[in-house]
Amino acid sequence: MTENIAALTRSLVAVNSVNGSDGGERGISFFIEEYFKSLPYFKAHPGHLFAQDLPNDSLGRRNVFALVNGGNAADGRTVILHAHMDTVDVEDYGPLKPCAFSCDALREKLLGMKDALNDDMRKDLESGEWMFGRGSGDMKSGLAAFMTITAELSEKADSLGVNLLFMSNPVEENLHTGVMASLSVIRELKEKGYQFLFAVNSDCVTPLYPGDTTRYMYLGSIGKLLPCFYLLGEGDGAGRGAARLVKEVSLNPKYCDGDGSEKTMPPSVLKLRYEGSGAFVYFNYMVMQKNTDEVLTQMKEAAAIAMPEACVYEFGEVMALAKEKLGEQIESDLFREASAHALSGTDKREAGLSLVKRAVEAAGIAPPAAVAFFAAPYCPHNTLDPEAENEAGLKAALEGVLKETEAKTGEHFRILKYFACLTDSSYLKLDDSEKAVTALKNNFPGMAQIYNVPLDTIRALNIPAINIGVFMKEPHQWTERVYTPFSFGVLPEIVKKLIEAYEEKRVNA
Amino acid sequence: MSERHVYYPAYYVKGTAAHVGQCFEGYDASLLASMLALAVTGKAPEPGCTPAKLLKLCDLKPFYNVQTAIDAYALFEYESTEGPERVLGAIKEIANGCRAEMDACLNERYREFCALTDVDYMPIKTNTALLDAGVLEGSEDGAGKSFSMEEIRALFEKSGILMPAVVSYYELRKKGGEDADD
Repeated sequence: MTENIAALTRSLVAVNSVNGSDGGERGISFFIEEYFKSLPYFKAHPGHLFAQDLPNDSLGRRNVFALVNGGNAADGRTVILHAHMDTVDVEDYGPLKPCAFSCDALREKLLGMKDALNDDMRKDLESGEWMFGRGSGDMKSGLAAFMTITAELSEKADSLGVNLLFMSNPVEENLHTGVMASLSVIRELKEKGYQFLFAVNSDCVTPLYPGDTTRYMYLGSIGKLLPCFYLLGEGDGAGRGAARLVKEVSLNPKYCDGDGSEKTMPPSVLKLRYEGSGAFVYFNYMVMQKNTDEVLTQMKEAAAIAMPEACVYEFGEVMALAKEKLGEQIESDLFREASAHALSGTDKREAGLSLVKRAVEAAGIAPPAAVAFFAAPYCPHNTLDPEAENEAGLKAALEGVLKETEAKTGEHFRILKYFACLTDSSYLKLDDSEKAVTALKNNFPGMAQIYNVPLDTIRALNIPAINIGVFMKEPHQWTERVYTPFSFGVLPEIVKKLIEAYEEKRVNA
Repeated sequence: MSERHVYYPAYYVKGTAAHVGQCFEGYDASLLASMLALAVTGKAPEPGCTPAKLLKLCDLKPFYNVQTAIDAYALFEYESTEGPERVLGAIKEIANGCRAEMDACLNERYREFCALTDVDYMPIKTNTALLDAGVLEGSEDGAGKSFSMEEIRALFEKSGILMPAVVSYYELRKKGGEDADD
């Protein structure tokens, strides 16, 4: 199996599936489909292999599903294995860009320049135990592992004690519209009697500090908000305000959230644009427990630090002022504009900004001013609930498998509550309170039209979503690399053992 | 009083992109560009001159994703009685100060994050090149010519430099059909 996963990872890396590229993600969906088509189980059950076109997606991207019905699966008991198929772009490779999609060619190039590499990278390169290339770790190796596991288990479908739903989704690296669309398929399957016990993702796991070789397993996902700012200034006030805001917020641990000993990474600036009299800035902001309204208050305070001369508003306040002046008409005007943006495929952050500008104008707000609001994406946070019997059971089952694996392999494992990077697993379970969701909706211009997260479906499905990931270093950097002995050898055994635990009905679910 | 000239100096900042979940592994071009913007503006470079004005401050991300900006740039209107070489020299000197500020900021925030997460702090080593357009072009005269940001970006990519860098240059600006810094 190890060699199969390694070879499949190389092949998947070779298919350019850069997020948002023309034909990339669509192309790899056919590659994945073809892989399953060649397997005896899917030749015999062609209807169990299917793709779903993403609604209103200008790039024609598709989710791919491969369903294996276990001959001994009672009560529709089903495990989901899911992995994203897209990668980030390859600009960071610079002169190495031509080799970014070839694991072997890139390795050769790196060997030729090893003196220019840092010690850790050079050591990994020379060990021969790491595979390089765009997506090698994030997460074509995880995708390859799950494709291979599904293929192997499909060979013994008749005796399998659970059903298996393999799913691969595009658009993970930005908007998560792939996994969101997949929820309607999962809901339909549920209506047909499939009972989803839990979902496993294999998104990439990285060391938490230099030299760290612990293999982390995650019981849930961190959440994400995208707090945005529209700054209006006199002279170059908006530009200087934007610069001060970036200095105040970006990478500042003051804005970390936490749950017990687990903490989020601090916010990172993802957009900085100033020209003329206005600036647009937004940050990636991760949450474990913090409510949306708390984040908004904190962000308004940051804006006040950055532009002490400005009046600071949240979008809901701007709308209230606009309605005072223009009545309810402004709301329907913005609704129409948001719908037009959604149809035309305007960048979702830019669409939000456009609505904010219109509301600011309607409210008669003059510079200097700052408006804080939210834009897409919004990733819900979730983790296993120790009070829920099935979720506590899943944790216990995983602990059992890891204990056994630790004794056999000498690997050291640690279970954490939240996968600290953004992941599609966010959209399978929702722990946000109704109050937090309301605060989000009130300050997210055009949310219903621009980024309609199926919150009710997520809450209704409530699928425990864990991450058993490949071990890699430096995702999204040209030094991205995956550790093959664990990722291709040990990880698949852990996943199979966990599935087996449920097959044998050792776990209450 | 000496004649005052208006210049349009700019910085092209090349960082290292990182996933937002590993943000301390990168070198955020937007953060450094913000430091540069604040360091250049807000005060007059010389007595009698108007304070330098920030005209543009942008990352160069082509679309949204969860990577920090790999490059960014800042453009200024800069009044001075000095000649173009000395002004570019002053601009480079500011970049030198901001390089140190960036290093200190990254390490201070990382140390604080390590304390919060109970992880041993190991200093982040940054190694940022300071260049001017002349060095990139191989002409040894960075002050005698203006460039568009796109030209500087292309020259930087061609240079094969992988480390973070700040390139100081004069922006090519058209005003009434002529280069503004002519």
